[in-house]
Amino acid sequence: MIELISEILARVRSFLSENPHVIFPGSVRSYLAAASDIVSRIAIAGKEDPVSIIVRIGVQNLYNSVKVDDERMKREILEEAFLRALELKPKRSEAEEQNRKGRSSLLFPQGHVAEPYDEDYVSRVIQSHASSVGYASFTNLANIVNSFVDPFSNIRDKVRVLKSLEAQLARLGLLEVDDYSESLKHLRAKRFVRSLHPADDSIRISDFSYPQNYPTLIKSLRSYKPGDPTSRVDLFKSSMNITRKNLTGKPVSDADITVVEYSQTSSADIVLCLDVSGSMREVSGGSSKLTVAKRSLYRFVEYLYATGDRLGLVLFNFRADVLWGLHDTRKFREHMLYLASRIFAGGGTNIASSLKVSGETFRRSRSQSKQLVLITDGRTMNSREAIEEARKLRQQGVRVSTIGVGSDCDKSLLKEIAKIGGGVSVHINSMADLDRALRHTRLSLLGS
Amino acid sequence: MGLDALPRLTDLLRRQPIEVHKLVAEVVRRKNVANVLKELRKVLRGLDEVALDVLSGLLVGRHVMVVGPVGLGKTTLVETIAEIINLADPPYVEVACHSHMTASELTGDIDIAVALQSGLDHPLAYIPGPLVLAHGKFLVMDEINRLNPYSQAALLQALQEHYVFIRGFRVRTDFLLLATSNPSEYSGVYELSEALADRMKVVEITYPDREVLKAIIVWKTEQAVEHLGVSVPEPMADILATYAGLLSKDGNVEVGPSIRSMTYSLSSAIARAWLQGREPTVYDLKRETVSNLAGVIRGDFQSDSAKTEYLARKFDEAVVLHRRQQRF
Repeated sequence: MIELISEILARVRSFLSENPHVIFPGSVRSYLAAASDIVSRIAIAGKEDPVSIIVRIGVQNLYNSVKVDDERMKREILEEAFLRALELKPKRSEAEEQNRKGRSSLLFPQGHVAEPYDEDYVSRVIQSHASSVGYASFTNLANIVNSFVDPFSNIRDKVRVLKSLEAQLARLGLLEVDDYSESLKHLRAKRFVRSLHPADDSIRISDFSYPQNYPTLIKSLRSYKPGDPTSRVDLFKSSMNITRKNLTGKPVSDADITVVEYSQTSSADIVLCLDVSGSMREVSGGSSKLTVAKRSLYRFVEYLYATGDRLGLVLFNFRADVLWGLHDTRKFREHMLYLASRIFAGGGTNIASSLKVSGETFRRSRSQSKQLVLITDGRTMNSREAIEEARKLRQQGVRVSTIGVGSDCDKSLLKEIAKIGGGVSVHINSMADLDRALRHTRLSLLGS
Repeated sequence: MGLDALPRLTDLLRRQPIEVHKLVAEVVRRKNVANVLKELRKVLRGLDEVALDVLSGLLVGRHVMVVGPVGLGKTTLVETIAEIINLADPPYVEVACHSHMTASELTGDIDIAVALQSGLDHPLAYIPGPLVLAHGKFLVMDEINRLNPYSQAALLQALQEHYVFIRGFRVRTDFLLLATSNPSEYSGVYELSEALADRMKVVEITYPDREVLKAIIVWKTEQAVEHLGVSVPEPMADILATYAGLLSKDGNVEVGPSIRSMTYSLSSAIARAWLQGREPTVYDLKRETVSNLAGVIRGDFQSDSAKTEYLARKFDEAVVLHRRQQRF
């Protein structure tokens, strides 16, 4: 048994040395102590599982000796190394590695899904995602889909991949299906017009966008000229003028008919960063926060249909990933609704990586107005990097807005990000107000 | 304690090495792990696995550092383990570390006046420090993360070479170190030097589950109020356990509630009601809890009153959660 344990520890050391985050993989003394400690612990233990003993005692002994660049990740890095050494966590295959870097390879050229997937490969990849259950590094839907297809490929390919994987993912509990047609039926019955400024304080907005971009659609009011479309006539003002003329007995002329000119709202490119960490699984008012968020997302997709914007979605928990890149809402509405309805939640929160991934998404955009909306309900582990990323995005010309949900979120950080990003920082008390908040961020783009 | 009990310098210089971990192994073999755990459960509950991790380190001669938030039983745990193993009388030597500790406080020093008068071999000439006194026993260092680099160096020398230097005299010392520390998020003043940290294994104590926490609160409170002749109402302990769970996972709160403060809240609520000759209510509990925790909890709050309000609000949430769970 001592041989086996030494072998495992030697492997741990080699994995730690390979890991780029590890500065020092641990002293020889700590490995020797770990070996003897594991043996002694197994000797005095009752019925405990030896694998968990090895991992736990090994981490305890190596904790002080190993040096990493980010102290908060130390425990995860150590545990991962042990699990790999015990062959419980298969190394990600080469194809997956390349997909993550976004490079095209012979197997997965850009935007093309390699058809001959053998069942074995698919199930192995999915298993490796499923093995992250229970850890902070829990996977998300975007990670899973992007293991099989380029992250920025067409949304049709992504939908196709997800449809083929649905059965397996549902069996492993990695899928949370929400029927979007039901919730949309309710909303189509109502009209969309709502006031920007709600009477209650369930939404708190801090606007850091530039003052000249006050949301307004009307550019000018002028008198009628022959050739103006009749739909543009402002009936109210025209009727007031005509009535006044009639009452005072003066003749009615062309000048009494008022025409409204609207500013051309150019279509914007919007990327939503949605937090799918474990805190989103909490239940509030009958359904989980994530379900409420997904429904707000469906409504937002419908809303953008009216304005003709392009929408992209980035999911982030521990590792951020693009669920779908910027696509025209009008053409791909059904696809977007389908992908959004399959999102599940779990894991830790890492805001900086979501901003970075969104930055890459915006590189493919040539629109005049680009906006990123970050939706989160919690705190992140790397606030400094998040602010750096927000700055870089601003330099790219992207406006960064944030929506914070509930009282657990880091309000000051979100305000800071919105301030640096030149956008709006919205704070809402519950997920139910999310669609109001989203619409507000869209309207803040008008006139820009 | 007569003068004979104090060590003389000549005795100290003639010390033989002791292999403490072998002594520990003998005791454990004689007593049986199950009995050790049984004795532990008389003092602490829910820490069986942690105690076995500490014990396994001690058995192979590894020094142990127990890390965890305030008030979860770290010091009690290491003291109890040392008492159960009982290598000598007293079973351990305890040092409460602080940032102004000097090396000579740890190793010991020679009293020059006595030495000049009565020679170096007089029992009072030499004042032994904890590092020397702990020969063949456990050394318990509380809040080791508060040591300054000078005392860390003295400790390191003792751990590394098993010798301590006092004014040029080399004194042999063998002991097993049991240290407690708070996690690195709390300012520990100084960081442990790498060499010192390398010699210790880190055992973490985390917040217990709600069920375990409730059982611990009930048990400790019973111990506290048994002389009043009152029983502990379980729903209140449940509310407190839920409350502690909410606070320990809260992002706003840096230092969470300790078991000690929970126990005192409940027992003082019971005592207050007893003084007025009635049953304790949730309002009593709320008042006592908020006042007890206001000092313990640390976090990003604007003012003390903001903190108290926040704690009160969280208590109400905990009551609602408790009632909701009662229905299932």
